[in-house]
Amino acid sequence: MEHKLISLADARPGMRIAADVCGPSGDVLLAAGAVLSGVTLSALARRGISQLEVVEPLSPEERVARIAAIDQRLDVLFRHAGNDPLLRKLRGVVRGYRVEKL
Amino acid sequence: MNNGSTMEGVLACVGQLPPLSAAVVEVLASFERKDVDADEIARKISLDQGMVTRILRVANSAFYGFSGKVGTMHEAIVLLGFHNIRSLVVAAGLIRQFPPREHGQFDHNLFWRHNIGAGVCARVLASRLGKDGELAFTAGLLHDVGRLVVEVVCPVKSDAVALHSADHDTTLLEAEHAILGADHAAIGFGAAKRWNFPAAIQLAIRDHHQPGQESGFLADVVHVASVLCHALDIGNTANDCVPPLSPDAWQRLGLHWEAIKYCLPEIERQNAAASLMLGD
Repeated sequence: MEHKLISLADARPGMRIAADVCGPSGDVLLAAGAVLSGVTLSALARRGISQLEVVEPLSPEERVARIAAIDQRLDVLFRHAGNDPLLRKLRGVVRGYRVEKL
Repeated sequence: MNNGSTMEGVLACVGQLPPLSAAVVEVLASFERKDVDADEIARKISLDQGMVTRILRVANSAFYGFSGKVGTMHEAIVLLGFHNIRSLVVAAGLIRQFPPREHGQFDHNLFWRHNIGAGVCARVLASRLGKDGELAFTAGLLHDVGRLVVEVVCPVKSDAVALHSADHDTTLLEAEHAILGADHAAIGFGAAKRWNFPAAIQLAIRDHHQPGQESGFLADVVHVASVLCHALDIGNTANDCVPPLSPDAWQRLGLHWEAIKYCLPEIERQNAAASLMLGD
């Protein structure tokens, strides 16, 4: 996941937050992973937030490469799993989770 | 005792173990007692500033919702509750008491990442199943303590186990049987008895690779947690692989894959907080 620091003026609804946005006293206003909406954007403006880190969407080629890297690592981790049905299922669940997060 | 572990192999390691710090001993004992003096325990913990620093880092993480407001052990106990602080004390105490040695094969950082990760997985799974999450977290944190014991008491053999496992691409258990004549589950069980860990945690340590009907809930949940932690690549060495998942333990817990999917983001969130325990 590529991160990019942008000013609040450039932030748009639908963008995903890459790192917790904290207020001046250190309290978390918006947690990493949250998707911006019009409401959250005006709330951040009211709290005096001027910039935030967002996730840059992947290009189709990058996405394919990321999925290949996920599968490659899972091949190593599950190399002794054989046809064990539970481990196959576990691998599927972890892969699904990783791909969904891209 | 696990298959292939000899009494001599276990005793060779456990016989020379140092006692645990007083704070850790009392906190562990509190899982089986009601009459606990939390203030007295807080005072003992406060004597070790390095331990306090680690605990406060986690206590101030976003996970507990008191970011930056927990300044002392006393405040940690008041704000988070003694129940929730115990597992942090145990982890911080062991990390402090058994620091890494230089030039060894044993990777302390990865060891603790795996054990903290397994603790978090166990806590999330146990809570989802309506059980005591903090006890499960503590059992998960301690499940591989036998590996630490080997590293502390027999560092030369600890290195030999790591090299054997890498050279032959064997599981850790196979390498331990070849080098030590006993595995970390049996050695950890011996240490847990000697250190008077709560009985359910002793069984979870002994049986976390192959829990049986009589091993108890904690052993089942720590078993699944450890496998899940390997699958999530938390604290793995380059050579690690996902160990077998016991269908019996899975069934006894009554877990479903949908529930696991639901738990993964929560595990990641809690693991980020608990890992603040590590580092200088």
